[in-house]
Amino acid sequence: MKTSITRMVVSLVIASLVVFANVMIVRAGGPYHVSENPLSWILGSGAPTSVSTSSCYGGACKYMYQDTVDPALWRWKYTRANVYKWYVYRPYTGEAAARYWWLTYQSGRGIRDDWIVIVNQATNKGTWAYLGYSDYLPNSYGELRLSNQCVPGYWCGGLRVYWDDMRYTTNP
Amino acid sequence: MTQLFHERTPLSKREKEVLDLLIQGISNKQIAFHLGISEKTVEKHITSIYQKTGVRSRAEVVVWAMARKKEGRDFPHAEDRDIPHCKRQRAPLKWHQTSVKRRMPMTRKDSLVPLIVGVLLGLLAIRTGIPFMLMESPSAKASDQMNEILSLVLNSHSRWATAQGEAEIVWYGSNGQTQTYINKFVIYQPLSAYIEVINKFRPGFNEGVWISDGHNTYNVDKERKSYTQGKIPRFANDLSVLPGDLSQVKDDVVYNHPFSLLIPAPVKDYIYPEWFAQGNPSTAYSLLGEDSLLGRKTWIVNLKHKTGQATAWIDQTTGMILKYVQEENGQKYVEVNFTHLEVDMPVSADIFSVAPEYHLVR
Repeated sequence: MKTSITRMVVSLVIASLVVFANVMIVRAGGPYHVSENPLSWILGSGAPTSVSTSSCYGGACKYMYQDTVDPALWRWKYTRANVYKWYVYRPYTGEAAARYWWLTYQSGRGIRDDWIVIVNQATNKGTWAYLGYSDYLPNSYGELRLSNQCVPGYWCGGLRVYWDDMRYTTNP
Repeated sequence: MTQLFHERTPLSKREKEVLDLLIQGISNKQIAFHLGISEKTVEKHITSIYQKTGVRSRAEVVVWAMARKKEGRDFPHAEDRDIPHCKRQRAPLKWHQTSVKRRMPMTRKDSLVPLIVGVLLGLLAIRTGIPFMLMESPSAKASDQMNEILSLVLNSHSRWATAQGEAEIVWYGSNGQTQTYINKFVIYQPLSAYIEVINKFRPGFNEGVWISDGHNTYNVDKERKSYTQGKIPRFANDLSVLPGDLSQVKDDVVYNHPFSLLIPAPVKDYIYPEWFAQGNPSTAYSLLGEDSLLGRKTWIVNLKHKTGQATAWIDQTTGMILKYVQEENGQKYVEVNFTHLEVDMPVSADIFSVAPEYHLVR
């Protein structure tokens, strides 16, 4: 009787460990959600720019910061390795075309993979927009940028470009 | 000038099967999976198809196949494949295609049996309310038609190989101001494009030229006669991210056509309208009717969402949006009108290169 109880307990412990390990493996690839709270915006096409929320005064928000060379550029930097797929959230208040610029780096090898994707924040509001994935894995870290520079063919000047949540995965 | 049409030599049955899937934008891996062969074998078949048809690339073979289809020849097959992102509407079976059995003379007993069964089934149908369900069929039919339209929009990219045209896009500001742009485009699927943005009333302001030759992209500065260059990323040709049919559409994520992600001009959203059929549960679609634009039949579809509404004129052949009017918070936001559109026409490869007098800026 005692032996069978011991066996049952051991089986339960092993089963729990297996489930935990699986969950951890699945979670290891993300998606990782990064929230810039409260929501911030910058006015399109003006430079130097500042963001709307008080937490961003001085060019440093919770995660993003203003580029020192190009004040129209805001950067959101991560140190996590193997950033793969990129997504950004379109808020219900979205009204302009946002120029997102994502980059992944391989430190030491000088490899940089980057692409600019224009997202019209006035369509498909309240959803995540897919921005593509990095050609280079493994990579050392990734970075997402947002610029309020005008995009040819879209409304230029005065509309708000929102910097809302973003998410990413780390596995193909 | 390179013409993209060539004469054809016969393809084997397997090659036709591979080509059938290939022209729908499916990757080698997926073709291999579907046909139960290795990826290497698929590559061999594709090489053989190239040799036999005289084409040099995947895109050229699509153009070639579309031309054959237009001519009404035996390729591509009418038979469909149940593969995500390439589902097409199956043509209804015609009466003469059904198998014909030899008729036997009917006896009186034979005719009584179906009559009794028919009456019993009729009574059963009344009890279960089937007639009431049938009375509701117009709306069911409408929603079926809407699903058909949205499925076309989701797979729009598989309905054409080359496209060229022009669209006028007017943006409306909050204080009555407008900004009007002309977008000119030539696209040769999957990865070649020429896009030019011209400001209609303020020449030189917020304009641009963007080119992709299938390997690299070029942002051209006409004033400075210079350009920047970038390599096309792998994701641009990865159609596997797109939902294949409406059942795969997610509530919270919208996938634009991967190649359109690279194009920095608003016209991309109407040439590649896959986003229109996706969204969150608060989105409601209704079919307003049909119209003819640029000599093409369109469906007029209205989309209502939390903060506004949009009406789209959807080309019944290609699924492209030829006219689009969007309102946000009760105010007009944008109006798009295609003023010219040609599809599946031969394209000169020269259009996808930067003029030699332009210099590269690093």
